[in-house]
Amino acid sequence: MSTPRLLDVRGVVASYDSARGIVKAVNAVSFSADRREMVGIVGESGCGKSATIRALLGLIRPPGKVVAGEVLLDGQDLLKMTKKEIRQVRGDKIGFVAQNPFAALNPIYKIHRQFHNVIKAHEGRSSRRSTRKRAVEMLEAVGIPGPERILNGYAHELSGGMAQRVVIALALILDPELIVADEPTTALDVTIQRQILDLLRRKTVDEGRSLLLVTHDLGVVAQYCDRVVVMYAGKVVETGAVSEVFARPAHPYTRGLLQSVPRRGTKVQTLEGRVPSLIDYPPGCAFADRCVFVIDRCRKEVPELRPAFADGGSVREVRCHVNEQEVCADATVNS
Amino acid sequence: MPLLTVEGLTKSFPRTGRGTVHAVNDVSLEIDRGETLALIGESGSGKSTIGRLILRLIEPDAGTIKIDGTDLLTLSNSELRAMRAKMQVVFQEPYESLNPKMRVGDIVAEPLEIHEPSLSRADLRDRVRATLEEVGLNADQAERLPRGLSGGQQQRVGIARALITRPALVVLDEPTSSLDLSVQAQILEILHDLQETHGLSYLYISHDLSTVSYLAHRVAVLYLGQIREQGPLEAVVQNPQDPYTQALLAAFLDSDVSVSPSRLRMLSGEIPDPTQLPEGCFLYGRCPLRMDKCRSDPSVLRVLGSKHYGRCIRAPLNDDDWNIVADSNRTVGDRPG
Repeated sequence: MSTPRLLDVRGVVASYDSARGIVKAVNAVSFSADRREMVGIVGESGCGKSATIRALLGLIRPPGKVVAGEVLLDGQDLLKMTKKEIRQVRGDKIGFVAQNPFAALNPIYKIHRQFHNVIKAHEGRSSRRSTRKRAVEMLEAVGIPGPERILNGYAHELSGGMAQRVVIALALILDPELIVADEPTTALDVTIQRQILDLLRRKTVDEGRSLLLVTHDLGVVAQYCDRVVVMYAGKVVETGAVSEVFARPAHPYTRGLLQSVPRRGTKVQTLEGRVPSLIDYPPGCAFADRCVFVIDRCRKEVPELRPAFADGGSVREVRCHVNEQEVCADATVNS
Repeated sequence: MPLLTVEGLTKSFPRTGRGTVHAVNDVSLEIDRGETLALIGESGSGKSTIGRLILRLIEPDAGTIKIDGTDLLTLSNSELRAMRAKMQVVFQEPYESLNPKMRVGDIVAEPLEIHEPSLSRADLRDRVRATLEEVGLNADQAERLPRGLSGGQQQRVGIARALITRPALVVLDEPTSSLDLSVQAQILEILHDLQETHGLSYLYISHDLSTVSYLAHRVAVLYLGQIREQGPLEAVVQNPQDPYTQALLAAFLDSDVSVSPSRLRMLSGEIPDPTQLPEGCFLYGRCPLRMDKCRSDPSVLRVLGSKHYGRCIRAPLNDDDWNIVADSNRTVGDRPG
């Protein structure tokens, strides 16, 4: 890579003190994102994917706190910033698209006022006319017909797909370099989903941004993302190019997840058991109890993230004691 | 004779001052014993309403619903209650559909206490235990409250509660859509195995093509409360003959990276207001393949193949038909690198 990575997340730990002990919701998470790249963060409920996003946006609220790590955006560590500074970065440099557009939009303000507020908060004084002009352009850019009419209306008058476009337009209005989208299409119908994903991809790839896409939908990752970060029990267990990870998973959990996708005529493969409690963290690998490849070492020694398929040419990492050749060997996930 | 026969089912909901929502419009379908019919469609297509109508949780405006030849709509209240043992339901949100103050064992026992009141305590306990075992729950879990269970276990309770009266028909209303992928796989496997063991008939309501292709034998595609296309799974999925079905299937994103995504087939605009149904074909305003007469002629289901029915007057559709549609700016899959 000739240019440095736009986003570099290094060893971030975020924990909560609960009545039953310390919960490490984000446990030494590291990953990065380049410009013009869509990075998918996948995992099941409680794996820490949303907490990771909140940590890098500076949105972890007490009693939770980020206790270690760096989040470098363009070389600047977001975790060292004051609340005021990070608030400026959110919006300016990072645009956020939430799962439910109607929760993200203010129900009692007209849409144009919401654009005006964002611009005013970040750029200081701005005339109604100029914010309106910028909002119209941005709404057009995200494929909203008749933006003038939308600006004069309220969120509740919009369909889900239109509301999510408005949220994306709001996220992009200050021209951020990084877009963070948390399940941006989960609340939308499938025929709308592709339009929104196409839009996000255009805004990322064509305009040189990075996009972090948190999702539980493996189809979205397979067909839209360039790289994938697979999380389990607060940790990254596998990273790499989507085309490689999905075709030849190196981690037994990734493999199990891909095999959980139901397909006609094949017996659905199930991952038995469930994610361990983050409080009584097992001594070895968190996945050991559910793993079909488990060996003695897994129950004693915590696996570190290590390079996988080192001869493969591209960067892949896996957190597993078992040889990745063995894991992917009978992973007939794509037959 | 099919287990379930539904004819001309129609339901609308008046909204004060804002017209009438035509939720279900002249829907006819059948389900054989041991068969799964999937109802697929987007939100607002009427699929959940059809499920509730068939269970008579709400009353239809018109139509007939027959189970084993008995017309549900002519039954008295007590007759209907007896019939309910034969038709059960599993809901989307497992936790919200379980009484939070009842223990799991009592939740599962309750339908049996109602439908087989003469059962002895010992027999009741045995039936509950056997049913819990069938869905993979143990005696210890029977003592707990629903909130002490994971989402997957809660849904197992929902299935056990539906199963215990030995129903013939189970309406599955998006039973896995709130569950994680690995848990979804466990629930699908249970549903599949239960169908094999007990010869259950399922009405499977879903918007998710991957679970539909796993469970369903036949598929009915709903749009604006109307069946657009209906047929065997393979026929509908591999050879869809309605522009809406084609758009719906093309939007599906396969997790298999070796499958290149299908070309996005876009319908223009969004689902119209269900208070003002279009006059001719319901898809007219959005359809790239439309012709003049689609605007005025009401579309009717006609035979397209073996047990395969569709409404589009242009069927059999040609793949080239869609080329008249402006392509979206890019098709997915042209990732860099």
